[in-house]
Amino acid sequence: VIPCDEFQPLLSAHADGALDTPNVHRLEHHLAGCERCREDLANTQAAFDLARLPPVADVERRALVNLPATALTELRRDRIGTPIWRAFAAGFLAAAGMAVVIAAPTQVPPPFTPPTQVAAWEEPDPAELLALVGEGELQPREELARAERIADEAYADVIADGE
Amino acid sequence: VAGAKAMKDGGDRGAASHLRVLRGGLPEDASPDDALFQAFVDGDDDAFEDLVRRHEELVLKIVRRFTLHSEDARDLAQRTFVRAFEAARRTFERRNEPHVPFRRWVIRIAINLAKNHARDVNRWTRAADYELGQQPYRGMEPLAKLIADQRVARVRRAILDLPRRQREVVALRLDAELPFAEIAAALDISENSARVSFHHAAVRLRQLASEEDAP
Repeated sequence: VIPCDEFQPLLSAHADGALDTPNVHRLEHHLAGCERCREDLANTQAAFDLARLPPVADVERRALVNLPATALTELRRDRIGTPIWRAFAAGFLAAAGMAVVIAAPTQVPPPFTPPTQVAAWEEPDPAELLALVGEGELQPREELARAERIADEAYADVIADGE
Repeated sequence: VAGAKAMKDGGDRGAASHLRVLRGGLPEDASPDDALFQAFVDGDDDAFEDLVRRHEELVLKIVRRFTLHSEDARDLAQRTFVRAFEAARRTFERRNEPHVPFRRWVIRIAINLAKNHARDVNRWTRAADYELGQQPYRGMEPLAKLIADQRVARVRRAILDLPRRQREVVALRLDAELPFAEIAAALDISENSARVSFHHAAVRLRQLASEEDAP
């Protein structure tokens, strides 16, 4: 007796109607006496029915109405867009760019040479330095407060006179 | 026309059958695709249209599982034909090869582009929301219809999650209805390998379809 496992590949093909006649006869002879394989066949056919897509719809066919024309346009654009001379030009430019990139680091700038004439150093005058520092110093807080008070009083007087 | 040969258009769309007169010079066993491609290379744009029309239904069936909208499917179909023509032209011109396996290339390119499209935009939800209403649910109770919808979504999503080879074989068999010999040729594998991949996928789908649905 041939075991069921040997019929399984035939069963899958038969479920989709893709089995040749001699094998169909072999399988049907086995199926006549094997309930398990009959059940597997039915389940496989059911799975294929679920897996199959619906028939091609009209809307899908209509989308292809202009397919030859658009494909031909695309085909010619591809061919026109990359003629031989353009491909050669692109290759030449790419090679030139590579050459520039490779050659660029070899152009080393000349070494730095310090100037031979240097300005003479003059000793600064301490009195001038102190005068500069004194101008920049802050005034004491009390003096600032007093100056602000005087200014506020003067401003108040001006306002009062105006009224 | 001296050396001319008449060819009945035997493409995927039988309704549009008509006679075309093409220039001679091809071998007697040349396929219609070879003749049309030769005519297009010689400057006959109508031959291009005929060649696309011969295979557009096939391409649509291959790519539609991996797309959400008909516009996406159309774009993928266009890219498929452009790439297939470019590949055929290169072979034709550089190798001076009169026979180009155009249909095989179209199938291969379509399945690859569709797979990449789904991966790039992460559109693995196609099975969940695609035209479920077209299933024969007439007369079903709402709860039973919901459960049936969930089962359909689960099985269709499972196809997209299958290992690559199994997914390709299942899509080309269930959607494009190609024989295993043609699937094997398109994917560059043996026919036996295609059948084994299909069987493994079938077992997986059968298990999923038999599982109990969540309440």
